[in-house]
Amino acid sequence: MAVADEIPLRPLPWPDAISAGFWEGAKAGELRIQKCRYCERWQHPPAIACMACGSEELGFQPLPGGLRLYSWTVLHDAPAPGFKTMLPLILGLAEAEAQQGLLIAANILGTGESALRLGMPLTPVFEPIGEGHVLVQFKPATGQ
Amino acid sequence: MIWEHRNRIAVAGVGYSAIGRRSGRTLASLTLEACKAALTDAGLDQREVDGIATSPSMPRYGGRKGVDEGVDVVTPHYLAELLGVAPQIAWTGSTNAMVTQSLIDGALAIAAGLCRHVLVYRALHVPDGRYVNFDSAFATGPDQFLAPYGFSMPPAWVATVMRRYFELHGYSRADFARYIVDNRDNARRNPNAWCRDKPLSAEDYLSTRMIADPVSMLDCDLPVDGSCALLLTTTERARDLRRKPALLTGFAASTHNGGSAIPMTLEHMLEGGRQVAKRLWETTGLSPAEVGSAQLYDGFSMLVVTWLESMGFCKDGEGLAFLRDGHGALSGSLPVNTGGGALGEGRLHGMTQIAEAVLQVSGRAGERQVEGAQHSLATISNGLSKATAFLFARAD
Ligand SMILES: [Zn+2]
Repeated sequence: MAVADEIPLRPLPWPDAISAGFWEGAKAGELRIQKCRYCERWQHPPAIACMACGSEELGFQPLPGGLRLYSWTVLHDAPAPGFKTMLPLILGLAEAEAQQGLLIAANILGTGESALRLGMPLTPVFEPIGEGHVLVQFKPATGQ
Repeated sequence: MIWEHRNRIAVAGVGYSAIGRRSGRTLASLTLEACKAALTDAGLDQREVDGIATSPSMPRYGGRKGVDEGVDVVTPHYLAELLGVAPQIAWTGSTNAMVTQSLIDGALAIAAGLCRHVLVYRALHVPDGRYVNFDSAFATGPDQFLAPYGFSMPPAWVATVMRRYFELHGYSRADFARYIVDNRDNARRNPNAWCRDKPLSAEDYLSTRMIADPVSMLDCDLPVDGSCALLLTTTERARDLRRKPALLTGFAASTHNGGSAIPMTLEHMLEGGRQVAKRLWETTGLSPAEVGSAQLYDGFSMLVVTWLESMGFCKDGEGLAFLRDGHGALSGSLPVNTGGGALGEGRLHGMTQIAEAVLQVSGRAGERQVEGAQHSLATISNGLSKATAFLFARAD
């Protein structure tokens, strides 16, 4: 049972053998996504085999091309205490131009809800959140 | 190809426990009440039950999780003991998928001759603690890509589905109000519904608290303490029992995973639903035009829209307009969730839809009866893997 002093500020990602390449990329300031060496499809989140062809020949590569806002939601209540300073919290899904339907979930930082538009260009940013963990986040690509 | 057992298996009894919130009752007590009610409804002695099936697991997030028999879960083996029928049980089924997968298993067990009278039940309760939350310091497995962003909550996933649908097709929450109100009106005609005494206006809907904008409290079904049970048997046997049976014309299950950054997306839900629809219409030999009422899973309001479209009742993007214009009301061309669905009845994981379809085709839906309906459809879950659809027919 969780007690008060164990409630996380924000849950930290716990990399495993399958996902490590993604989080290592984040620490290096790069959005690296799992790609099948056999059929060349990208997939996210990473998995033990390619969901398109079943191959286990997978690796992580920097994702080429841009990102577009696929959809989003806005939370006005913090889902954990550590999100309180981020309210209203925008949870977004970015779609990769490299492959239709390839989505990545993160927060949309540096903008307000009213500025969000379906298909708006996004750029990844890398947010250190303590204990050596770095999150992939997104912000609008306009105004750079 | 038409299913060879079409209309040969039937639901002969429906039973509900009292539906409450933090009632203090154990799952075992709720389950026994529902199962005994289903047996009484069918006019069957419990000594004739020889098959039992359920999905005993609780939802993924939130609240205290336990595995104590009778308190946190009720497995078929434990229920057999509680009913004092363990020695005669020839078949049990237990699934991690939605409970409605158990209905398929039970029907097939009867068709295969393994057993004759099967109880299919679901019991849920409101656990201690916040129901929707993620309360670990570290996020592992699929949650490592969700929880660090505050995304480990199903209402947020479905909110992205609703937001995308709104943006693609030019809708807003105001377009949902008519359906939410029509649905509550249906619940008020359903003696089993948690919300039967709670009227609701469009203004109430539009001013209610957001959980994950644009998904509000009133777009999510309410966790309740409750249980629902069905008694399944052959149609031949059912004709000797107390009630007019509801014949199982056919069923289909989704195998479309569509693995993505979150567990549900608009396009994958529609694709999974379309695959279910194709199998259902092919194996039953029927079409959407022959459905008199549709019980479409509404763990979230948005799912009603995706089911309307994927099952072939509406074109893409037109499902919400269909509801907004009242076509899904009790007086409309396709009454939807005639008993108020899970939004009105409480969260029983799809048993609501099955039970209502059964009551409609057996002419037992009281004030909310749709006249002349030969078939009722029930769909469960979101169209992705583990989602199911069932078509029930009126017995001649
Ligand atoms: Zn591949």
